[in-house]
Formats: sequence, structure tokens, C-alpha cells
Amino acid sequence: MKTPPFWGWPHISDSGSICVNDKEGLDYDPDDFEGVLGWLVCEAAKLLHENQLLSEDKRLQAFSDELEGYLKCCGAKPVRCDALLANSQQLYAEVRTHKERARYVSTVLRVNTGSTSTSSTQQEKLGFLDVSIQQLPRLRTNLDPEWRDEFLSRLDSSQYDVALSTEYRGLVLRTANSYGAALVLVYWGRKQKKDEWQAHTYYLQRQDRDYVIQRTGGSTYDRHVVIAGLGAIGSRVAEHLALAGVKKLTLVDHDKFSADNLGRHLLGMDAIGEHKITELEKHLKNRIPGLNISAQKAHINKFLRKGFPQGTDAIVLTTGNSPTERAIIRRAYQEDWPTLIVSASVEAWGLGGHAIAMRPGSPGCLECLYYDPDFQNPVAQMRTSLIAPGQSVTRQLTGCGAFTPYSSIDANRTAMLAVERVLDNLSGYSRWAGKIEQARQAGIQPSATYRSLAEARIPLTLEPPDYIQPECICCSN
Amino acid sequence: MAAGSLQYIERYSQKGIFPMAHAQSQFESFHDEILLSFDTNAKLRERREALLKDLKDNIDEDAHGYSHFIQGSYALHTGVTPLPDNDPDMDVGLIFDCSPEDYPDSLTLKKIVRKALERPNRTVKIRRPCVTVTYLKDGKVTHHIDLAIYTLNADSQTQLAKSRETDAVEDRIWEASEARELIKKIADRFEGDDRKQFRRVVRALKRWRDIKLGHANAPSVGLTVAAYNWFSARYDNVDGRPRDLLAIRDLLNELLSNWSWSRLEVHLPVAPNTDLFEKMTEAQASDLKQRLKGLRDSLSEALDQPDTHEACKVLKKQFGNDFPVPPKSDTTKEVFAGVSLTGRSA
Repeated sequence: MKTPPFWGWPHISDSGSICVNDKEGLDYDPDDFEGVLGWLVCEAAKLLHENQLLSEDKRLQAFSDELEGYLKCCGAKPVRCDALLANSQQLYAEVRTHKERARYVSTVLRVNTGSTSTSSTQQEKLGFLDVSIQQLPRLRTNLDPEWRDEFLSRLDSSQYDVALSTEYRGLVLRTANSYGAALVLVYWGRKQKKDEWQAHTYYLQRQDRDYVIQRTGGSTYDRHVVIAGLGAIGSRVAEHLALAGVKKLTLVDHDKFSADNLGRHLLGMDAIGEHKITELEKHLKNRIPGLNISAQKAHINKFLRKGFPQGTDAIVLTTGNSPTERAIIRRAYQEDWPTLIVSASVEAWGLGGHAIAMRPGSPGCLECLYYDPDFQNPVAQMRTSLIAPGQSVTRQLTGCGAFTPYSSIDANRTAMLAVERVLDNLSGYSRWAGKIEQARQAGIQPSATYRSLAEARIPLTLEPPDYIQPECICCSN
Repeated sequence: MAAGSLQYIERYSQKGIFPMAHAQSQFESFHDEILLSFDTNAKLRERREALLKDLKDNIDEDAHGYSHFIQGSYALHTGVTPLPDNDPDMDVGLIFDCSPEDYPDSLTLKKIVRKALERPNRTVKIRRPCVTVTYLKDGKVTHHIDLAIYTLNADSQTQLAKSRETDAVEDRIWEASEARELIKKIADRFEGDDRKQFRRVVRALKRWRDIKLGHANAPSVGLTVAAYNWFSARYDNVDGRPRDLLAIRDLLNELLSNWSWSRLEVHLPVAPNTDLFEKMTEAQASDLKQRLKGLRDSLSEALDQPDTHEACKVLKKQFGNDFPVPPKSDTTKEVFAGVSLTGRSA
């Protein structure tokens, strides 16, 4: 005997399958069939009992949290949707039509707000309706006139008008739930006679930025970050900030990507010969939908020629050029730029990396690390350098083009320090210390700072009061 | 405190900044100045070799064989150059291949050693813990070497000959004394940069003792073992360089907080586990405590100085003229940092 279809019960599919737990978070002895089955039956009985105790409204509300899952179990197809949906926007279905047994069959591939991204498709207008779970009759993959009549009967007049509008070939139904909303597409395509009406149900596979970030457990940051220098560290800073949900990124660099960069940069072979920023812009736009990104093909000094880039919440300096960064920071302090500035650099041979964040107007800056604290005199080398003074660490492989040897992992670890500083939006100094072996093989002597960090004698993270220098030329006035 | 310093402090305290002078470079220069190391001092090595050759050439043929080792501050790497009025000393241990039972009167073996070493240009005197060879030149003492005489008991534990000629026979004893174990314990207590700082701190304290206390009843090994017990290495949180000033001040605070009743007890961590300050009278102990407090307070005062020049003036009063005082820094002067090779990139 065929089981009547289920609808409106949380954790129960249309065929009556009960989901007592998803696959994640379970652990058991794989040979303990009896124990697992016993547990399963108990959990299923418990779940049914709990659902039974709920009022119909509450049960339906709990069910709405799983509406998309229910449709998946029914066999409904997914449709990509990377736009943030709103009532005010006109929605379209990207539809591909093909012939199947002398009939034309239309399939929706994507829902968009005006621009297509798939080939050989046509745009068809969709209506958009906010409906309650109570207004939805039982959904299944294919819908018939009976379902339509029932659905229309549950709508109020304004909803009714949208649902019956002749300009639409389908409806996106948004049903509020405790995670935000479930999105369902009911697509009927071409105009049909009332008694021959047929539609297919799709669930919307959201790819908008808010949803993607929510899936990470994080939240979006309504901030604008300028990243100067898109090398191995800067490119990763950009990617991590984009993935963390930062709203707007401005990338500033004038270098082209070369094969020499492959070993530790985010970009790959496709980018060889191209400007790093244009390739990164492409990469990041593809990586996170809806990211606001601006690529500035310029040296950072040229970019800053007109002064502080208005509306910037943070500037990340990853140029690999200390004098340039120190000059920018001095200027930012002189002109009192209202922004967080983060300078990040990596040390050769895996010894470690630094990220220092500062805010003009507040003491404690990169320049403070260039002072002898006992005499308040400026010193040539950053006092927290991880390599003992006076050693050349650059290497050459081709007879020209010296480079500083460090790995992709070193760059990534350093980038993470910078990213954390940006997201925390706090001044401070973070560093990491790696292993000594590579440096030892290269005949490089580590500094006292490295030894103290490596032996955990001093903290990896410092607050500005720890390193403020009263005579600092940059932040003391 | 100088008026300039007060202005300096006022200037920064208004900003909520309290600069401190750690004078680390000066502590390190001071250490280089007072360091007396057996490994680096050829004169010390020559004196030891000459003495051991003398002993080998002249010791009674019937005496048991022996081996030697350096003990005392050179072995502990805490030797300091003596003050001008003090003659330098050296401690050498002689372990004879025999047991205490072979010489029930420990003085017998000491006399054998004395006989082998007596010469016109030196005096050889048996003291209760050792045989002291004092070298003379033009009638003046140049240096002395203390020879501690050991045998090994059945458990291979070193037994020290404690006897002098004026002692009654029953007081001429062998006493368990693990000098080699002490050397190892102290050497192994700290490693790397911690160990280097430990040795600098002990040397600084020993020089302070020489200046402020003299040798009487406050043996330098007492300070070394106290540091063994209570020293903690201190580093600058920003650049990881050692901070000897903080390490000494914190050690002094530990010492003072461990003062029990009217005195400080510091026991050897090896046999005979004696209290190294036991010979101090209450008055001497009280004096030591006051002086240690004075040193601690001076270190804190130096630390509070915003100017290293002023800090070093305070420190020089405690550690003596070998502690360097740098020229007063002129903050109005244009100072150029120069150019450095950096190992950093992005």
C-alpha cells in the first residue's frame, strides 16, 4: 500500500522518511548495527511524539525551516540565485529549452535580476511573492490545476493579482522561517489553459554574498578596505577579507604577474603576463558574489597623491617596501587620516612575519619599532626583526632578479595576522615565529627577538602601550 | 633626580607614556668588564697547569693516584675580576683514588699535598676545608689557589678532607661534599639565553657584594645558589632582548621575600646541604638585608628614569666604577639611523 504523501511535519519527507539527524556530528561503532538501529527507532519515535504535541501552526512554522530540504527529497531541481532578492526588483528566469520526444521542454537554470550568466538561455519574467507557510498547499515536483486553485484561494487580493499576472512565467515564493526565508520557484512557462495548467517546482540555491557569509557562521562587514601591494601576502589578505564578508575592496598595485610568482601567490598560470589587480579582481568576483571591488593600476604613492582616500575604513600595506610604508604612515599621522592602517611583512627562510595596526592620532605605530627604547634614538633596523642585523637574505637563481625566499605558507600566516587586525579594527602588533631549520641551512642567524618568540618567552601579540616610543617622529606629537 | 629628568617625566606622563631605562647595553658592557673566565684567561690556566705539574713531579711516590677538576666560580661560570685590593683565587679539586678508610685522619693526605707543593716563592697552608697555596712576588701576594682534597666512599660519593693541624684527631674528618654535582646542577638549571642572563646576574651581584660587603660571611657561592633557587630570566616583551635590570630586581624581591625570621637560609642543593649563610651573625644578616633592599630600590629608581644616562649614574653607585655611564642623550640633536639590510618582504 502506498503511503499518503506527508506535508507540514518537520523532519519528515513527502514519502514519510524521518530524519532524526543529518550526517554531520554523529559518531558510532560502525559494527554496532543493533545499537544504531535501536537509537534510530527511539529518536524517530521521540521526534514524532514531539511534533505531535505541537499546535498545527507551530508545526508548520518548524516545517518552514526545512522547506527547501523537503523539496530536495521530493526530487525538485535546484536553481542558482546569486542576487539578493527584494520585492522592488524585477526577477527573471534564465530558461533553456530543448526538444524531447517531439515536445519542447523548458528548464530554469538561474534566477537573476536582469543579467544572464549562462549561454543559450532566454529571460522570462517572474513574479515575487512573500507568502506564509500556511498559504502553501502541499508542494511536489509537478503541480497541477488543483494545486493552483488551492493556492490562489489562500492568497489575499494583492497576492492574487501578482499570481495571476499574465506577464509572469512563474513565481518566486519567499516563506519566512527562523533562518531568514525559504525560496521556492513555481515555474509554468508558456501561457496555458486553466484546466491544462502545469508547473514545476524548483528550490533556489542561494549564492548571494549575505547567504554565503552566513554559511560560514560569520556576518558581513560594511567596510571599505584599501590593499596596497598585491603580492603573496596582499593577494591573500584580499581573498580572506572578501571571504570574511568585507563589503568593498580597493586593490592598488602596478605589477604584472610573472611565472616567478607562481610558487607563493594566490594567482595561477592563467594570470602570467597580466596585471595582478585585474586578475585578482576577476578571481575575487568569481569567489564571492556581490563583492564590491575596485582595481587601481597604480603605485601606492601615485594612488595616494591626492591624499586620504575618502570613505576608507582600513588601509593594508603589503608592499614589501618598508621605507614606502613608513613614509605613508608618517603622512597619515601628519594629516590625521581617519582610518586604521595595517602594515604586514614576512621574514625570509620561514622565520616568521609581522602585522602592525595603528590609527593616526593614537600613539604606537610602525615607526616606534625603529627606536632604541633606552636612548630614544632611531635605529636602522626594525628592533623586532627576526633576523640578526647585517645579514643579506636575498637570493638569486638566474643571475639577475634577487628575491627574498619565503613560502606560500609563510605569506598566508602573515596575511592572516593582517586580516585579523582589519576585522578586529584595533591597533596592535601581531607576529609569528616559524622554525629555524631553513634559516640555519642558509647560514642565517636569527635575532634575539626570534629566539624569545620561538621559545615562547615573550608574547606574540602586543598592545600599543607595550611599544610606544615617546620620541617617535611619527606618533609622538 | 636632575631637573631635566623631571621635565622629561612630566612631558611624557601627561601623554600617559612612562618611558623606562633598562640600560641593557650597559649591563652587558659591565659584564664583559668584570667577567673572569677560566676558558678565556690564559694566565689562570697557566697557574693551574704549573701547580698541577708541581704536584705531579713532587708528590710522594707512595701516595695514591688522583684526578683533578676545577671547582668554584670558574667551574660555575660566575667568576668576576677581583677588586684591586683583593688577590685572585682559584679552586681546584683533587680526587684521590682511595677511600676515607685508607686515611682515617684526613689531615694525612693534606700534609702529603702540602709537602709536594712547598717552595720558597709561595706559602702552603692547610686550612680546614682545603690546602691554600699563596703565591708571592717581591714579598707581595699575587694570587692563591685553594686545593680541596677528596676521596671517594663506597657509593662513589666525594668526601672532602676537613681538618687542620690544630684540630683534635677526632675532628679531622671526611665529609660528604658533592662539588662536581653542584657544578652540573647549576650548569643544567637554565639553558640558552636564560643561562647567559643567569650568569650575568650572578656576576653583577658578586661584584656588588665585593664592593658593598666584602667577603666576610657572605660567600659568593651563597649568592650563586640563591640565584639557582630564585632567578627567573626576564626579557623585553617587544624585541625579546634580555632585561638584566628586571631580572636582578625580581631576584632581589624573591630573596627578600624568602628571608625567614632574622636571616636568609640558602642551602646547598647537594651534600652536605649546609646553609651557606649560617656563619652570619644576626647583625650581619640584618646588614645584608638592608643592603639588598638598597640595591633593589636603586634598581627600581634606575628603571623609573626616562634617561639611560641618569639610570646608569644610579647603577654605578651600586655596582662600582666598572659600570659604564653613557653620555647624556640630546633629544634635540638630529640623529640619523642609517640604512640596514632587511630580510622582510611581502
